[in-house]
Amino acid sequence: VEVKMIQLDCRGLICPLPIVRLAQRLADVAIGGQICILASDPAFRADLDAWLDKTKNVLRSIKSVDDVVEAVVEKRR
Amino acid sequence: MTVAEAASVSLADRVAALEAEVGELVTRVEGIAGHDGMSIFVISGELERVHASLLLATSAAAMGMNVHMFFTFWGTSALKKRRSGRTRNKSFLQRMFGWFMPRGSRKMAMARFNFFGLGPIFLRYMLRRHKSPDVDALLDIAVETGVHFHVCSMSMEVMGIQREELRDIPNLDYIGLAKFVGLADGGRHTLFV
Repeated sequence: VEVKMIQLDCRGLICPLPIVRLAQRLADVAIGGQICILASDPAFRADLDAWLDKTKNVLRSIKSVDDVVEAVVEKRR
Repeated sequence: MTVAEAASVSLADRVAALEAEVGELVTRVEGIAGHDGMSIFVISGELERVHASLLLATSAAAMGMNVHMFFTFWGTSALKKRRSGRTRNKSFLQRMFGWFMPRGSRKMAMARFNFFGLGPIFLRYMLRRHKSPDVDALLDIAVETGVHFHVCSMSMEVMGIQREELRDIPNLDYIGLAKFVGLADGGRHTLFV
């Protein structure tokens, strides 16, 4: 089964927009669906960890190239 | 009634009392677990304070929390439209309030660096350059993320602000302080801005 992944480009957006956009976008995703988010805000990694912790969604993968973090988040509930 | 019967009755009574107490505690603990909310009491009319309270509200909503914002006194300025429709039955003093109170965030002053209204213009320019939302944009984001808006019915009455003067926010209602205290009681965080 191919999982369709939503791309969300938040490069250039600053706190709290990347997290707000992620939460808003995730509302349209079914449970088990994934979002691939790109962000350049230096606080993004810390905010994402807190958000995952709070919302119980799961981080599938994360990598950073230069100042951009690319994270894949899976919706759990 | 024998002594043994009396003892068993009192034991049954005590068990029943304990059961009732445990039941009440269980409901309370379940309530606490579901109390994942934030209530923000916005009384200030300074642009940066309202801005910060909206940033916090939208972030908390993005974290999946149930967020309630209560606007009262100067805080109501942020919810006003730039142009209101015709208003009726205002007293002279209420009209004066209407003239001097900012109509919406574009007219609100900053606590510092206001420079007779130039400060907020520069601030909005800087926010736009960094693609960061201003108060009006944050109000839209707050609506989208499900923040609940409440206005103080007492402020509206005393200051003579009418519904037609407020932005068309779908989930906005008039409430009193008892209701706000009740809402705040449903969450772990209450902030006074």
